[in-house]
Amino acid sequence: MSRSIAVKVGLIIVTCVVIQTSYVADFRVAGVIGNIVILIAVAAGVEGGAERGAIVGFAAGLTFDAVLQTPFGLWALVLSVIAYVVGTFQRSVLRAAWWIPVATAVAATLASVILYVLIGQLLGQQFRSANLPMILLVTSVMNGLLSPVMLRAMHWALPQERSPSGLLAR
Amino acid sequence: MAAPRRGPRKLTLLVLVLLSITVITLDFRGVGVIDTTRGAASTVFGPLRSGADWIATPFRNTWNGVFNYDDVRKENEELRARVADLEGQQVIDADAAAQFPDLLELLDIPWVGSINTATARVVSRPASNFSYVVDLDKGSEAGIKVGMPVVTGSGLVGRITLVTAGRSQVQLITDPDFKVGVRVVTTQDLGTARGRGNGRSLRVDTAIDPELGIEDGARLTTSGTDRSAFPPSIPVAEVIGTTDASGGLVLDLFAEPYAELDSLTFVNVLLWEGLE
Repeated sequence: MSRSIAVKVGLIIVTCVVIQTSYVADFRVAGVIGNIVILIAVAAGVEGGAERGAIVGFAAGLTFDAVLQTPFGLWALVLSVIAYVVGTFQRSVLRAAWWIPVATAVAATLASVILYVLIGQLLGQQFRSANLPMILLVTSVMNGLLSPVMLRAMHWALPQERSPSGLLAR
Repeated sequence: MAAPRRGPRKLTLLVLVLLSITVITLDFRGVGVIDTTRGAASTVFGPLRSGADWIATPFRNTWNGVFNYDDVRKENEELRARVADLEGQQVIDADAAAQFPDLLELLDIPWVGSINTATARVVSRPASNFSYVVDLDKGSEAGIKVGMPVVTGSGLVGRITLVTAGRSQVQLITDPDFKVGVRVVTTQDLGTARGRGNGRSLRVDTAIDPELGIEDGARLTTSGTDRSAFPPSIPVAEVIGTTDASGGLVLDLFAEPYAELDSLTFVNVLLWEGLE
Protein backbone atom coordinates (compact mmCIF):
# COMPACT_ATOMS: atom_id res chain seq x y z
CA MET A 1 0.00 0.00 0.00
CA SER A 2 1.59 3.34 -1.01
CA ARG A 3 2.16 6.15 1.46
CA SER A 4 -0.56 8.38 -0.03
CA ILE A 5 -3.10 5.57 0.26
CA ALA A 6 -2.05 4.98 3.87
CA VAL A 7 -2.48 8.68 4.66
CA LYS A 8 -5.93 8.81 3.06
CA VAL A 9 -7.10 5.66 4.80
CA GLY A 10 -5.65 6.88 8.10
CA LEU A 11 -7.53 10.14 7.72
CA ILE A 12 -10.79 8.28 7.11
CA ILE A 13 -10.21 6.00 10.11
CA VAL A 14 -9.37 8.84 12.52
CA THR A 15 -12.29 10.96 11.28
CA CYS A 16 -14.75 8.09 11.65
CA VAL A 17 -13.53 7.19 15.15
CA VAL A 18 -13.90 10.82 16.24
CA ILE A 19 -17.39 10.97 14.71
CA GLN A 20 -18.29 7.67 16.38
CA THR A 21 -17.13 8.77 19.84
CA SER A 22 -18.33 12.40 19.63
CA TYR A 23 -21.56 12.29 17.65
CA VAL A 24 -22.81 8.76 17.07
CA ALA A 25 -22.39 7.92 20.78
CA ASP A 26 -24.86 10.72 21.61
CA PHE A 27 -27.45 9.65 19.04
CA ARG A 28 -29.36 6.76 20.62
CA VAL A 29 -32.34 4.83 19.29
CA ALA A 30 -34.04 2.82 22.05
CA GLY A 31 -30.86 3.20 24.10
CA VAL A 32 -28.70 1.76 21.30
CA ILE A 33 -25.98 3.53 19.30
CA GLY A 34 -24.72 2.81 15.81
CA ASN A 35 -21.23 1.73 14.82
CA ILE A 36 -19.83 3.41 11.72
CA VAL A 37 -16.35 1.93 12.26
CA ILE A 38 -17.72 -1.37 10.93
CA LEU A 39 -18.61 0.51 7.74
CA ILE A 40 -14.94 1.40 7.18
CA ALA A 41 -14.03 -2.28 6.92
CA VAL A 42 -17.04 -3.11 4.75
CA ALA A 43 -16.34 -0.26 2.33
CA ALA A 44 -12.65 -1.17 2.21
CA GLY A 45 -13.57 -4.74 1.30
CA VAL A 46 -15.94 -3.57 -1.44
CA GLU A 47 -13.61 -0.98 -2.97
CA GLY A 48 -10.20 -2.39 -2.16
CA GLY A 49 -10.75 -6.13 -2.39
CA ALA A 50 -10.11 -8.89 0.11
CA GLU A 51 -6.44 -8.27 0.96
CA ARG A 52 -6.44 -4.48 1.20
CA GLY A 53 -9.84 -4.59 2.86
CA ALA A 54 -8.53 -6.90 5.57
CA ILE A 55 -5.57 -4.59 6.25
CA VAL A 56 -7.82 -1.52 6.47
CA GLY A 57 -10.31 -3.43 8.63
CA PHE A 58 -7.52 -4.46 10.99
CA ALA A 59 -6.27 -0.87 11.27
CA ALA A 60 -9.76 0.53 11.81
CA GLY A 61 -10.57 -2.12 14.40
CA LEU A 62 -7.33 -1.60 16.28
CA THR A 63 -7.88 2.17 16.38
CA PHE A 64 -11.41 1.66 17.71
CA ASP A 65 -10.15 -0.82 20.32
CA ALA A 66 -7.69 1.82 21.54
CA VAL A 67 -10.51 4.17 22.60
CA LEU A 68 -12.63 1.48 24.25
CA GLN A 69 -12.13 -0.62 27.36
CA THR A 70 -13.29 -3.86 25.72
CA PRO A 71 -10.61 -6.48 24.81
CA PHE A 72 -7.87 -4.78 22.82
CA GLY A 73 -7.62 -6.44 19.41
CA LEU A 74 -11.16 -7.83 19.30
CA TRP A 75 -12.56 -5.32 16.80
CA ALA A 76 -9.31 -5.65 14.82
CA LEU A 77 -9.88 -9.40 14.54
CA VAL A 78 -13.54 -9.11 13.61
CA LEU A 79 -13.19 -6.30 11.08
CA SER A 80 -10.20 -7.84 9.29
CA VAL A 81 -12.14 -11.09 8.79
CA ILE A 82 -15.34 -9.32 7.73
CA ALA A 83 -13.53 -7.06 5.28
CA TYR A 84 -11.76 -10.07 3.78
CA VAL A 85 -15.03 -11.95 3.33
CA VAL A 86 -16.73 -8.89 1.82
CA GLY A 87 -13.82 -8.36 -0.56
CA THR A 88 -13.90 -11.99 -1.65
CA PHE A 89 -17.66 -11.92 -2.11
CA GLN A 90 -17.61 -8.68 -4.11
CA ARG A 91 -15.16 -10.20 -6.58
CA SER A 92 -17.65 -12.77 -7.70
CA VAL A 93 -20.76 -10.55 -7.78
CA LEU A 94 -21.77 -8.14 -10.52
CA ARG A 95 -22.03 -4.65 -9.04
CA ALA A 96 -24.31 -3.12 -11.60
CA ALA A 97 -27.22 -2.87 -9.15
CA TRP A 98 -27.02 0.05 -6.71
CA TRP A 99 -28.58 -1.90 -3.86
CA ILE A 100 -25.95 -4.65 -3.78
CA PRO A 101 -23.31 -2.64 -1.86
CA VAL A 102 -26.03 -1.35 0.51
CA ALA A 103 -27.28 -4.89 1.14
CA THR A 104 -23.67 -5.96 1.62
CA ALA A 105 -23.19 -3.23 4.24
CA VAL A 106 -26.30 -4.36 6.12
CA ALA A 107 -25.38 -8.04 6.03
CA ALA A 108 -21.72 -7.42 6.92
CA THR A 109 -22.74 -5.21 9.86
CA LEU A 110 -25.01 -7.93 11.21
CA ALA A 111 -22.24 -10.49 10.82
CA SER A 112 -19.70 -8.18 12.48
CA VAL A 113 -21.79 -7.59 15.59
CA ILE A 114 -22.69 -11.27 15.93
CA LEU A 115 -19.06 -12.33 15.48
CA TYR A 116 -17.93 -9.70 18.00
CA VAL A 117 -20.43 -10.92 20.61
CA LEU A 118 -19.57 -14.61 20.02
CA ILE A 119 -15.82 -14.12 20.28
CA GLY A 120 -16.33 -11.76 23.21
CA GLN A 121 -18.36 -14.40 25.04
CA LEU A 122 -15.55 -16.93 24.42
CA LEU A 123 -13.17 -14.43 26.00
CA GLY A 124 -15.39 -14.16 29.08
CA GLN A 125 -17.03 -10.82 28.31
CA GLN A 126 -20.65 -10.26 29.38
CA PHE A 127 -21.79 -9.05 25.97
CA ARG A 128 -24.98 -11.05 26.07
CA SER A 129 -26.23 -8.63 28.69
CA ALA A 130 -26.73 -6.01 25.98
CA ASN A 131 -29.96 -5.57 24.01
CA LEU A 132 -28.66 -7.57 21.05
CA PRO A 133 -31.67 -7.63 18.68
CA MET A 134 -32.05 -3.85 18.87
CA ILE A 135 -28.28 -3.39 18.47
CA LEU A 136 -28.34 -5.52 15.31
CA LEU A 137 -31.28 -3.59 13.92
CA VAL A 138 -30.00 -0.07 14.64
CA THR A 139 -26.39 -0.66 13.55
CA SER A 140 -27.32 -2.45 10.33
CA VAL A 141 -29.94 0.11 9.29
CA MET A 142 -27.63 3.03 10.09
CA ASN A 143 -24.74 1.49 8.14
CA GLY A 144 -27.00 0.65 5.23
CA LEU A 145 -28.07 4.31 5.03
CA LEU A 146 -24.51 5.63 5.36
CA SER A 147 -22.87 3.08 3.08
CA PRO A 148 -22.98 5.22 -0.11
CA VAL A 149 -20.98 7.95 1.68
CA MET A 150 -18.36 5.57 3.03
CA LEU A 151 -18.06 3.78 -0.30
CA ARG A 152 -17.30 7.08 -2.00
CA ALA A 153 -14.70 7.89 0.63
CA MET A 154 -13.03 4.51 0.22
CA HIS A 155 -13.18 4.79 -3.56
CA TRP A 156 -11.17 8.01 -3.21
CA ALA A 157 -8.71 6.46 -0.73
CA LEU A 158 -8.24 3.06 -2.38
CA PRO A 159 -7.74 3.38 -6.13
CA GLN A 160 -8.38 0.13 -7.92
CA GLU A 161 -5.22 -1.94 -8.50
CA ARG A 162 -4.23 -2.90 -12.05
CA SER A 163 -2.25 -5.99 -13.06
CA PRO A 164 0.81 -5.65 -15.33
CA SER A 165 -1.49 -6.28 -18.29
CA GLY A 166 -3.54 -3.22 -17.37
CA LEU A 167 -6.56 -5.21 -16.27
CA LEU A 168 -8.23 -4.55 -12.95
CA ALA A 169 -6.87 -6.92 -10.30
CA ARG A 170 -8.31 -7.67 -6.87
CA MET B 1 -6.28 -13.05 -17.65
CA ALA B 2 -4.09 -12.88 -14.55
CA ALA B 3 -4.34 -15.84 -12.15
CA PRO B 4 -6.16 -14.99 -8.92
CA ARG B 5 -3.75 -14.08 -6.10
CA ARG B 6 -5.50 -16.23 -3.51
CA GLY B 7 -2.38 -17.54 -1.79
CA PRO B 8 -0.86 -14.18 -0.75
CA ARG B 9 -4.34 -12.84 0.19
CA LYS B 10 -4.99 -15.74 2.53
CA LEU B 11 -1.52 -15.31 4.01
CA THR B 12 -2.29 -11.64 4.70
CA LEU B 13 -5.53 -12.57 6.46
CA LEU B 14 -3.73 -15.26 8.48
CA VAL B 15 -1.06 -12.78 9.59
CA LEU B 16 -3.71 -10.22 10.61
CA VAL B 17 -5.72 -12.81 12.54
CA LEU B 18 -2.62 -14.03 14.38
CA LEU B 19 -1.65 -10.44 15.13
CA SER B 20 -5.11 -9.73 16.54
CA ILE B 21 -4.99 -12.83 18.73
CA THR B 22 -1.54 -11.81 19.97
CA VAL B 23 -2.79 -8.34 20.91
CA ILE B 24 -5.86 -9.81 22.66
CA THR B 25 -3.60 -12.17 24.61
CA LEU B 26 -1.30 -9.32 25.64
CA ASP B 27 -4.33 -7.36 26.85
CA PHE B 28 -5.62 -10.26 28.92
CA ARG B 29 -2.21 -10.80 30.46
CA GLY B 30 -2.13 -7.16 31.52
CA VAL B 31 1.03 -6.31 29.57
CA GLY B 32 1.83 -2.66 30.16
CA VAL B 33 2.18 -1.72 26.48
CA ILE B 34 -1.58 -2.11 25.97
CA ASP B 35 -2.44 0.41 28.71
CA THR B 36 0.26 2.70 27.37
CA THR B 37 -1.31 2.46 23.91
CA ARG B 38 -4.75 3.23 25.30
CA GLY B 39 -3.33 6.17 27.22
CA ALA B 40 -1.66 7.49 24.09
CA ALA B 41 -4.90 7.09 22.13
CA SER B 42 -6.78 8.98 24.84
CA THR B 43 -4.20 11.77 24.66
CA VAL B 44 -4.40 11.96 20.86
CA PHE B 45 -8.15 11.63 20.46
CA GLY B 46 -9.07 13.77 23.46
CA PRO B 47 -8.44 17.16 21.82
CA LEU B 48 -10.03 15.93 18.58
CA ARG B 49 -13.17 14.93 20.46
CA SER B 50 -13.23 18.21 22.33
CA GLY B 51 -12.98 20.06 19.02
CA ALA B 52 -15.76 17.95 17.51
CA ASP B 53 -17.91 18.59 20.57
CA TRP B 54 -17.28 22.34 20.29
CA ILE B 55 -18.36 22.29 16.63
CA ALA B 56 -21.51 20.30 17.42
CA THR B 57 -22.60 22.32 20.46
CA PRO B 58 -24.61 25.04 18.63
CA PHE B 59 -26.37 22.45 16.45
CA ARG B 60 -27.06 20.22 19.46
CA ASN B 61 -28.44 23.17 21.43
CA THR B 62 -30.68 24.17 18.53
CA TRP B 63 -31.93 20.60 18.16
CA ASN B 64 -32.66 20.31 21.88
CA GLY B 65 -34.29 23.73 21.91
CA VAL B 66 -36.64 22.79 19.08
CA PHE B 67 -37.47 19.20 19.99
CA ASN B 68 -36.88 18.90 23.73
CA TYR B 69 -38.12 22.25 25.07
CA ASP B 70 -41.29 20.83 26.66
CA ASP B 71 -39.36 17.97 28.30
CA VAL B 72 -36.77 20.38 29.65
CA ARG B 73 -39.43 22.73 31.02
CA LYS B 74 -41.27 19.85 32.73
CA GLU B 75 -38.02 18.51 34.17
CA ASN B 76 -37.17 21.99 35.44
CA GLU B 77 -40.49 22.24 37.27
CA GLU B 78 -40.03 18.80 38.85
CA LEU B 79 -36.50 19.67 39.93
CA ARG B 80 -37.64 22.96 41.53
CA ALA B 81 -40.24 21.08 43.57
CA ARG B 82 -37.67 18.49 44.58
CA VAL B 83 -35.16 21.15 45.61
CA ALA B 84 -37.78 22.78 47.78
CA ASP B 85 -38.44 19.46 49.54
CA LEU B 86 -34.75 18.83 50.01
CA GLU B 87 -34.13 22.28 51.45
CA GLY B 88 -36.78 21.59 54.04
CA GLN B 89 -35.29 18.20 54.85
CA GLN B 90 -31.85 19.77 55.06
CA VAL B 91 -32.91 21.86 58.02
CA ILE B 92 -34.08 18.78 59.86
CA ASP B 93 -30.91 16.86 59.09
CA ALA B 94 -28.49 19.69 59.83
CA ASP B 95 -28.11 18.86 63.50
CA ALA B 96 -27.53 15.16 62.90
CA ALA B 97 -25.10 15.89 60.06
CA ALA B 98 -23.08 18.17 62.31
CA GLN B 99 -22.59 15.46 64.86
CA PHE B 100 -22.05 12.54 62.50
CA PRO B 101 -18.47 13.30 61.28
CA ASP B 102 -17.31 13.77 64.85
CA LEU B 103 -18.77 10.43 65.79
CA LEU B 104 -17.15 8.67 62.83
CA GLU B 105 -13.84 10.34 63.53
CA LEU B 106 -13.96 9.05 67.06
CA LEU B 107 -14.50 5.54 65.66
CA ASP B 108 -11.85 6.09 62.91
CA ILE B 109 -14.30 5.33 60.07
CA PRO B 110 -13.89 7.21 56.75
CA TRP B 111 -16.90 9.23 55.66
CA VAL B 112 -17.64 10.25 52.10
CA GLY B 113 -18.41 13.80 53.19
CA SER B 114 -14.89 14.30 54.48
CA ILE B 115 -13.04 13.01 51.39
CA ASN B 116 -11.36 15.49 49.05
CA THR B 117 -12.75 15.50 45.52
CA ALA B 118 -11.73 16.57 42.03
CA THR B 119 -14.55 17.86 39.83
CA ALA B 120 -14.26 16.81 36.19
CA ARG B 121 -16.31 17.25 33.05
CA VAL B 122 -17.50 14.22 31.11
CA VAL B 123 -16.13 14.68 27.58
CA SER B 124 -17.42 11.52 25.93
CA ARG B 125 -20.09 8.89 26.46
CA PRO B 126 -19.71 5.13 25.81
CA ALA B 127 -18.58 4.83 22.19
CA SER B 128 -20.07 1.40 21.48
CA ASN B 129 -22.96 -0.74 22.68
CA PHE B 130 -20.53 -3.05 24.51
CA SER B 131 -18.49 -0.29 26.15
CA TYR B 132 -19.39 1.11 29.56
CA VAL B 133 -16.76 3.80 29.83
CA VAL B 134 -16.90 7.59 29.83
CA ASP B 135 -13.94 9.97 29.56
CA LEU B 136 -13.19 12.85 31.93
CA ASP B 137 -11.16 16.00 31.24
CA LYS B 138 -8.99 15.59 34.35
CA GLY B 139 -6.25 13.07 35.04
CA SER B 140 -3.21 12.48 37.22
CA GLU B 141 -2.41 16.19 37.28
CA ALA B 142 -5.55 16.64 39.40
CA GLY B 143 -4.56 13.83 41.76
CA ILE B 144 -6.78 11.20 40.12
CA LYS B 145 -5.61 7.58 40.31
CA VAL B 146 -6.90 4.25 39.06
CA GLY B 147 -9.51 2.75 41.37
CA MET B 148 -10.89 6.01 42.77
CA PRO B 149 -14.69 6.20 43.07
CA VAL B 150 -16.64 8.62 40.88
CA VAL B 151 -19.92 10.17 42.00
CA THR B 152 -22.43 12.87 41.16
CA GLY B 153 -24.68 14.71 43.59
CA SER B 154 -27.20 11.89 43.10
CA GLY B 155 -24.99 8.89 43.69
CA LEU B 156 -22.31 6.48 42.52
CA VAL B 157 -21.26 6.65 38.87
CA GLY B 158 -18.39 4.19 38.74
CA ARG B 159 -14.65 3.83 39.20
CA ILE B 160 -11.55 5.23 37.51
CA THR B 161 -9.91 2.58 35.28
CA LEU B 162 -7.40 4.53 33.17
CA VAL B 163 -5.48 7.71 33.90
CA THR B 164 -3.21 9.92 31.82
CA ALA B 165 -1.86 13.34 32.71
CA GLY B 166 -4.92 15.27 31.60
CA ARG B 167 -7.63 12.64 31.07
CA SER B 168 -9.15 9.64 32.80
CA GLN B 169 -11.69 6.95 32.06
CA VAL B 170 -14.55 5.83 34.28
CA GLN B 171 -16.02 2.32 34.30
CA LEU B 172 -19.76 2.83 34.82
CA ILE B 173 -21.75 0.88 37.40
CA THR B 174 -23.86 -0.57 34.56
CA ASP B 175 -20.83 -2.49 33.24
CA PRO B 176 -21.56 -6.23 33.67
CA ASP B 177 -18.01 -6.57 35.04
CA PHE B 178 -18.63 -3.91 37.72
CA LYS B 179 -19.61 -4.88 41.25
CA VAL B 180 -19.90 -2.97 44.52
CA GLY B 181 -20.79 -3.95 48.06
CA VAL B 182 -24.06 -2.32 49.11
CA ARG B 183 -26.18 -1.96 52.21
CA VAL B 184 -29.98 -1.65 52.39
CA VAL B 185 -30.44 1.54 54.41
CA THR B 186 -33.62 0.52 56.21
CA THR B 187 -32.67 -3.04 57.17
CA GLN B 188 -28.83 -2.83 57.07
CA ASP B 189 -28.73 -6.04 54.99
CA LEU B 190 -25.61 -6.42 52.87
CA GLY B 191 -25.36 -7.42 49.23
CA THR B 192 -23.28 -7.13 46.05
CA ALA B 193 -24.64 -5.00 43.21
CA ARG B 194 -23.61 -5.85 39.63
CA GLY B 195 -24.18 -4.05 36.37
CA ARG B 196 -26.28 -5.57 33.59
CA GLY B 197 -25.56 -3.27 30.67
CA ASN B 198 -26.48 0.22 29.54
CA GLY B 199 -30.00 1.32 30.40
CA ARG B 200 -30.64 -1.69 32.62
CA SER B 201 -31.10 -1.90 36.38
CA LEU B 202 -28.46 -3.33 38.70
CA ARG B 203 -28.87 -6.82 40.13
CA VAL B 204 -28.05 -7.19 43.81
CA ASP B 205 -27.13 -10.55 45.32
CA THR B 206 -28.15 -10.70 48.98
CA ALA B 207 -28.64 -13.18 51.76
CA ILE B 208 -32.07 -11.78 52.60
CA ASP B 209 -34.77 -14.29 53.51
CA PRO B 210 -37.52 -14.09 50.84
CA GLU B 211 -40.10 -14.39 53.64
CA LEU B 212 -38.98 -11.01 55.01
CA GLY B 213 -38.90 -9.24 51.63
CA ILE B 214 -37.66 -5.76 50.70
CA GLU B 215 -40.06 -3.02 49.64
CA ASP B 216 -39.74 -1.19 46.35
CA GLY B 217 -38.15 2.18 46.94
CA ALA B 218 -35.64 0.88 49.50
CA ARG B 219 -32.38 2.77 49.25
CA LEU B 220 -28.98 1.18 48.70
CA THR B 221 -25.69 2.79 49.69
CA THR B 222 -22.10 1.54 49.51
CA SER B 223 -21.39 -0.74 52.44
CA GLY B 224 -17.72 0.21 52.81
CA THR B 225 -17.04 -3.14 54.44
CA ASP B 226 -13.53 -4.41 55.10
CA ARG B 227 -11.13 -3.87 52.13
CA SER B 228 -13.93 -2.39 50.06
CA ALA B 229 -12.94 -0.34 47.02
CA PHE B 230 -15.51 2.30 47.98
CA PRO B 231 -16.02 4.36 51.13
CA PRO B 232 -19.30 3.75 52.96
CA SER B 233 -22.60 5.62 52.59
CA ILE B 234 -22.42 6.66 48.93
CA PRO B 235 -25.96 6.44 47.50
CA VAL B 236 -26.02 3.76 44.80
CA ALA B 237 -29.53 2.79 43.69
CA GLU B 238 -33.19 2.39 44.60
CA VAL B 239 -34.89 -1.02 44.69
CA ILE B 240 -37.48 -1.44 41.93
CA GLY B 241 -38.15 -5.17 42.22
CA THR B 242 -37.12 -8.47 43.77
CA THR B 243 -36.82 -12.08 42.69
CA ASP B 244 -36.12 -15.36 44.45
CA ALA B 245 -32.65 -16.78 43.92
CA SER B 246 -30.68 -19.89 44.87
CA GLY B 247 -33.77 -22.04 44.63
CA GLY B 248 -35.89 -19.66 46.68
CA LEU B 249 -33.51 -19.53 49.62
CA VAL B 250 -32.49 -15.90 49.25
CA LEU B 251 -33.74 -12.71 47.62
CA ASP B 252 -32.11 -10.90 44.70
CA LEU B 253 -32.94 -7.24 44.17
CA PHE B 254 -33.22 -5.13 41.05
CA ALA B 255 -32.23 -1.52 41.63
CA GLU B 256 -32.22 1.62 39.47
CA PRO B 257 -29.04 3.72 39.86
CA TYR B 258 -29.55 7.16 41.36
CA ALA B 259 -27.00 8.74 39.04
CA GLU B 260 -28.36 9.76 35.62
CA LEU B 261 -25.78 7.86 33.58
CA ASP B 262 -27.24 8.86 30.21
CA SER B 263 -26.85 12.58 30.87
CA LEU B 264 -23.60 12.95 32.80
CA THR B 265 -21.95 16.36 32.46
CA PHE B 266 -19.92 16.96 35.62
CA VAL B 267 -18.79 14.36 38.14
CA ASN B 268 -16.73 14.31 41.33
CA VAL B 269 -13.80 11.94 41.66
CA LEU B 270 -13.29 10.97 45.29
CA LEU B 271 -9.55 11.21 45.97
CA TRP B 272 -9.73 8.09 48.11
CA GLU B 273 -7.38 5.15 47.81
CA GLY B 274 -9.13 2.66 50.01
CA LEU B 275 -8.70 1.48 53.55
CA GLU B 276 -5.19 0.58 54.62
